[in-house]
Amino acid sequence: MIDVVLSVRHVSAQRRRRLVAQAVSFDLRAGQVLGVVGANGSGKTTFLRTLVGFLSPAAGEVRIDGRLPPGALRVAPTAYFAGESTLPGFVRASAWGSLGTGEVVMSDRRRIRALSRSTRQLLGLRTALGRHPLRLVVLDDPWEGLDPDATRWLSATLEAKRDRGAAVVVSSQRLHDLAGICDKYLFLTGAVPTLVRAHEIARSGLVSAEQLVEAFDRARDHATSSLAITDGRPVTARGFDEDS
Amino acid sequence: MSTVAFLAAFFRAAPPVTHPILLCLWGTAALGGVAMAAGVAGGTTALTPVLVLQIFAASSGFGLALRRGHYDLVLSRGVGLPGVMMAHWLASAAPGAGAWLAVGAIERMVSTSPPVAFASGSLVSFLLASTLPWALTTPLPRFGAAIGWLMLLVTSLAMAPAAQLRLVEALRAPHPSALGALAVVVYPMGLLGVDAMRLPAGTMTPGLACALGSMLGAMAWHRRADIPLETAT
Repeated sequence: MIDVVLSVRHVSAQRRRRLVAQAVSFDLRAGQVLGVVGANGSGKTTFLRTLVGFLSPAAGEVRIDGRLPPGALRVAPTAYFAGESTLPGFVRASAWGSLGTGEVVMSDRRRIRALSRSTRQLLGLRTALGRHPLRLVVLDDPWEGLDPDATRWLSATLEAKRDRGAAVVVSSQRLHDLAGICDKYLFLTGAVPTLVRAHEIARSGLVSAEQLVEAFDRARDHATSSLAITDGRPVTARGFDEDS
Repeated sequence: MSTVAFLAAFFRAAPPVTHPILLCLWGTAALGGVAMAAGVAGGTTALTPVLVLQIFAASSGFGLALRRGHYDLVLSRGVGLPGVMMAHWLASAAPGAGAWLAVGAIERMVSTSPPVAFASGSLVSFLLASTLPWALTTPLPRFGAAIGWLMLLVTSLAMAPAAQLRLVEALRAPHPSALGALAVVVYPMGLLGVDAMRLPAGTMTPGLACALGSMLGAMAWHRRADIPLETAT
């Protein structure tokens, strides 16, 4: 039986009436990783918040373990983190860190705003990822600002979560972060994003950074040419039905 | 960890009331207690600054923190927005309630007359000071409603020095009036020590309806609203 954790059907995500992703469809199974790639301002955060139900989709439907979010998050343990800027700066780091599992993940008693950016990012990630088991992990640009040790820790943790059966959605604007770790990639290159499976980019399924850059450029060129033909407005919404 | 326990732990770690306001609340309650014990002040005098501080404490600005992603950790546990809002309101009102109870307890110890803190009018004034500012500040920055209220009060007193007296008279009048109903909302201090049951329903009801309506309105607003990040695109 296929263990689909995240099911996205013809979803259009919008922020303040601006469509950032249109008619996106895919399934993400337990143990699979989806990389969401896009430039600054391409709508990665909006799309990820739509996936976890913090934003209502303009069209379509998201289901987590067959249920609609945000109610689904009660039964499908989910980790979501959108970056260190979302942490309240006045809270003590040790107090925030204990909210994940009740255990102290950081003994530093300084206020979060007094920490370095890298430490804040690490604190947020460790708190969000501290719960286990996790069914769904959704991380927005998690490598942003991390030092090399923390980067290694994050990669190892994501692998461990995936191996224990979590579905992982992770976004980044730096392609080398995502190369080699994802089963599929969603390129937010225009209103109509492109979904590509890893083995479509590299036969082995292990995508290198160079191959990912090439694939992203191709998708962007295609989006640009589509927009030129339609005078800036996509004529049709392309869906990407996985396994169809 | 159960949802309620998690919410309690969350708002203990990230309290919506700032430390300076907390210090002011407890300092004011302590000073009021000392003044009452020394016999230089009554319950109304001790409770008035606590009520003003409660208006500031309750103006805790839920919406801004929400849009900054401060509650993402709670929301990702499947806690619904109304649940987070209720917990936020309770956490905003709790420190003031603690200070109020402390003043009331001291008053009971040092005074032979019934404590002003627990008179029905006083409790209504505390309820109004805890609900209206919280609801009105939901879409505004912290202290938004409290600053607006203070500006309104200071401006009206500067323009009409007798306004305070007229508000209190209208509030305590045996017949309901529009000014009396307005006084309940804009000058809740006038209710301190008053038996609310003896006030006309026409005076009290609009204020209470306003408090309830504002809370429901704030909840409804956020229930239908999405939660974008301020910085997100």
